[in-house]
Parts: sequence; structure tokens; C-alpha cells
Amino acid sequence: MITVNGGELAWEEGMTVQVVLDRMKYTSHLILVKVDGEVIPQKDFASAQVSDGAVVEAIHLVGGG
Amino acid sequence: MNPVELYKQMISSYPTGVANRLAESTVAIAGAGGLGTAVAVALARACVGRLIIADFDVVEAKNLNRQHYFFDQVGQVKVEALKENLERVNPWVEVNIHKVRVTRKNFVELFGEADIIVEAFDLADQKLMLIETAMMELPQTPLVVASGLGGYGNSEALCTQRSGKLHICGDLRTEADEKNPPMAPRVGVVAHLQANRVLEILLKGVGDEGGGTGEDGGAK
Repeated sequence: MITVNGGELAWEEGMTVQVVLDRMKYTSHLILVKVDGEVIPQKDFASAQVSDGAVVEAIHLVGGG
Repeated sequence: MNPVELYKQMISSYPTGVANRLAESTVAIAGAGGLGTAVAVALARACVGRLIIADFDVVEAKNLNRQHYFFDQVGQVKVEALKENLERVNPWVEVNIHKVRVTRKNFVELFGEADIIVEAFDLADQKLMLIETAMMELPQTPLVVASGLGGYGNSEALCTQRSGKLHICGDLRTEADEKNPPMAPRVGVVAHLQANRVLEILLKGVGDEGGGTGEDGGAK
């Protein structure tokens, strides 16, 4: 089991950040992802592994300022 | 009255230690638009010692509906106009300006000396670039960003959240667009949430904790 934005999500073998976003239906490409406190750059979403028990934060950024 | 005499007047109401901590602090502001100009003015008034401000743009008439420029500055380079304004607000503050687009390549050179970096861009993909770059290149530097400030009203939804070194101000969802254009009051609230969080971070450990932090001050 992993935690995504405070809620639970079932862990899967070989789970990557992209898979987590797909399961959560986060489709925007303007998402900041942290796994266990570390920022994962967008270019690494498809390769960065998420281990069982990981704490994931996905922050959707919107424009304006 | 010279700038130092002015400074002494401006800090005359501050508790012991607060003025000194702020005077030795450097805050970088990435962007000199609605957020950046408001943050810069607030921090200059609060007597933060040094501000580093970067923006590539020029003042346009439509900017005046929320950005801290004046009518006679339309056409001027933003960072130059802002520096003039800050010098009129508080000539004691050191203001370093860079008329440049912030990128991954110049990020450390521009902001490496800052104690805190404030993100004040308008485009979401630029916000993301800044956060990713900051986390990679200057992971120990607190970063105060803004997301979700469009439209008017609903101040209740505007807040400050924290994830490690990253502090996020806004409602996290209202994009500034045709339906919810950026307007001075709401942009100002978010900019001041950012500036207030900057002070909280800078003043951590100085004397009694500031009045607004309560038991669960966000920056602790």
C-alpha cells in the first residue's frame, strides 16, 4: 500500500510515478511529484520506481501571478 | 533624513532581534508581476536587508490593474521600474535586479545567495520548472510558491501549505484565465501570504514567535 496525497492506493509490482498518476487519474501535465520527500522531475515519471509503503505527494500547479 | 535614519524609524516598533535578523536576510523574487511586485514592496517595507529580483518583461498598461507600477512607468523595463519604486518606499534596502528570463542554466547564479526564493511567475509550466530546478540545484533553500489565485472573492479558500522546503500559497485550483482573471485583491492576498510566510521562515527562533503563528505555525 502506498499513500498518495494522504489517501491509500494499492501498490503494484514495478510501479512507476506515471503509473501512480494514471491510477489516480491525474491527467494534467503540470503536476509536481514528491516521493518520500524528494521531487521527481517530470522527465523521470515513466522510470522512477515507487516502492511499497512510499509516501507520494502530487501537487497540481495552476497558472497565474 | 538619510536612509539609515529612515530605517531606524521604520524598525522602531520591532521587538529585539527581529530587525537584525531581517537586515541580514536576502530574499530572491522570481518574477516582477502581480505577485512579485506586491511581495517586493511588502518585504521592503518590513525591512528585509536585500532583495534579488529577476524578470525579463516591460511594464504594459494592462499590468496596472494588479501590478505595483505607476502610470508614468508604462514602457519601462519592469525590474528597473520596480527598483525605482522600492527605492522610494525604503532606500535602505539593497535591491539587485536582473532583466533576464530565469532558466535552469542561470538559476544558481541568480538565486544562489538567497536565504529564501519566492516564485512569482504567471505560467504554470514555468512554476514547475522553477520548483524542479530549485529542488535539484538549491535543495536546502526554502521555496515559497503560488498556485491558484484567479478571480475575486472566496478569500477563505486561500491558504498556505507546506511540504518540506516547499511552501505553497493560494487555493491550489483557480487558474488565472478569462473566466477568473487575476485581480488586485485576490492576487494581493496570495502575495501577502507568500511575504508573511517568508517572514515566518526568516524569523524562526528569534525571541517570542510572531503573533500570527499560533501553536502550529506553518514554517516550523
